[in-house]
Amino acid sequence: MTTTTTVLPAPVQQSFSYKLLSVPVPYMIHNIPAMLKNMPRNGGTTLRMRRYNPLQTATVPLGNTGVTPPPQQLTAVNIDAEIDFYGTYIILNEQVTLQNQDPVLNEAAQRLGVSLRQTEDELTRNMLQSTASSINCTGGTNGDNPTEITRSDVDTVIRTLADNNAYTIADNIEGEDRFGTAPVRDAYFALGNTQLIGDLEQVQGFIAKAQYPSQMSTLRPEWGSVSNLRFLLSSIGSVTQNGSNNGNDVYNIFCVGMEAYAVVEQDGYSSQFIYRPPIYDGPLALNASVGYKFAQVPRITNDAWVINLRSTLSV
Amino acid sequence: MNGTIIQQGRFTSDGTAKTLDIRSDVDWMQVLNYTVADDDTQTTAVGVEYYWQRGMAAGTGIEYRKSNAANAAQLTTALASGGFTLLDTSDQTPGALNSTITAISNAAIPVVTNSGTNGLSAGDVVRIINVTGAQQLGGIDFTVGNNTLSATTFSLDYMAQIVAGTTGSWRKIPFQPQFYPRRRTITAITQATSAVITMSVTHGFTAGQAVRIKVPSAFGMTEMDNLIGNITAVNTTNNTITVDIDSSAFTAFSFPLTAGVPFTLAEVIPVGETANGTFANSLDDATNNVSIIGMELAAGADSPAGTNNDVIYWRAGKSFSVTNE
Repeated sequence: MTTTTTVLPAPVQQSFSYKLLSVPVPYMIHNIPAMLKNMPRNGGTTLRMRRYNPLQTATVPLGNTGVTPPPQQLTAVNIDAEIDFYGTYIILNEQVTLQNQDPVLNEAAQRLGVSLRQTEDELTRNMLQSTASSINCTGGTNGDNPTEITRSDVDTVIRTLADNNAYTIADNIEGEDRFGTAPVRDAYFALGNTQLIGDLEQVQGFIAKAQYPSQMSTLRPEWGSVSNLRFLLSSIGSVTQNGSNNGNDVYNIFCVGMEAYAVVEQDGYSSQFIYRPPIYDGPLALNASVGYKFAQVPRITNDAWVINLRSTLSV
Repeated sequence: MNGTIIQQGRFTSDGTAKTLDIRSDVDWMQVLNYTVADDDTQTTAVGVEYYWQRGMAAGTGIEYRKSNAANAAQLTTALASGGFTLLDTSDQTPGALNSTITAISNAAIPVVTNSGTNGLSAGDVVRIINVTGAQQLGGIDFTVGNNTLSATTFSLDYMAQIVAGTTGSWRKIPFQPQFYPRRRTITAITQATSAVITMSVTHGFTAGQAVRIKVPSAFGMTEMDNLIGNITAVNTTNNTITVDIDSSAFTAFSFPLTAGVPFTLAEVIPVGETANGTFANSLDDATNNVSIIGMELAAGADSPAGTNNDVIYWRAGKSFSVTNE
């Protein structure tokens, strides 16, 4: 009789693969165009910024009367942002780190790091969704309000930003003698959801990232460009659930120029990673904890330089 | 902290649901109605103590009643509704779709008629969806007003008169966007030396704030588009702001008709605080995350938030572990 594994099974039936599997992490796009500002230590709860209003031009000649014309008044707008504190943590029983084969604490630290950055990103996204002025896509044919995105909607938002004297963020990419490529204009950034990919590629004049003459100045989450907009997409891009006339989800595409918004951090504080070994836990030192906290507030600094282009999907 | 009472407090009921900010979250909660406890004249049983713990469904709880009548029965009861509801106001998920609109009137204040029971209160926010004959309202949030409100009707107090609509849907919007100040949709602008602007949802602006007015061409008053004004007055009854912009010679503002869809909404965009001596120290415009985690207590004689002027004591706690099988 043959001795098979049925007769004589392995004493330990499984082996552990020590290389842990990848954890899906979304692209964090919303802080890419943000200015970074610091709230000074011992400076209260709120950072006040100020922008002066433009003066009128003086195109009429002074004439020869010698009489002084009236002066203009200098006015300004204050822009305030109130810092909030955020954080979360994990409590790990000592038996977990003692008995598990995988490096639980290391993995906890990595997951907390992603949570921190994603929290920062989502806070900025939610602030833009709450506050930024909007333009509905109206050039599409899906019968909804807003419609799916089209070239005329892209042109409208670019024209509006340009009318408001917003500066583009990215320089142009000059054309080169390479098959299938096209020059890319200097551009504002458009921050959107990956659900838009299909409709975006149907927009007249869309240039995929792979068709840029050079990849040197592209970003990982970048999908492509249309006219003077370069689209950065993420699975956590902003969505207003059931926000359209027909009750469909509305995808918010934040089209931003330079210095349109800021993220304010607490000077000397943001952000902290905190590990407390079990010895700090109680009489029996049973549990360790690991967590993060940070202080932050995102704020639109020039409302005319950020526009929420709202769209639904074609299908 | 685990296993301890983490927060306690007291409030005097105003007869409406009470929201308690408990950021540490809560595993159990006890509420005592001091006014009922102190009253020895009840002849019918009325709620005096309430209890909730994690695992109970939203809106439920245990109610302990008090009665001074002899041999009162059924003094403990499970609340199927009107109890405790955990809150996380950062959750922007709209309520369920109610395909119950049968008509929207062409009255000066539009009144929505619905089949069934709407369950709405004044101040709730609803999103109107795909109303036949009134497509222009689709996707817009409105604060439910006091003008007309019953189980089968609710009024859009801050909306201008429309051509009547027929069937459609609505969703309740449980929480407002996370950050203040918020972009608001304009429903009307007057032609006046100081323009008065009405918004569809309770706006929360204060005098001294600077705002940009966006008026797309579909709304007529294009002269107003992109102007920045300072808020000089706020009317919370009509949900209006008055701005220092002279619109008296502007084209009249008119909300698009159903055939005008699709269009971009007219909006008030918060800009900042006017740098004027009167408001030098005002921080009302400060961007601020106003979301909370906590508990909502329903109001009523047999609910934890009690009735008007009841004095309510409460305490909330965390458990070291929760095992719900």
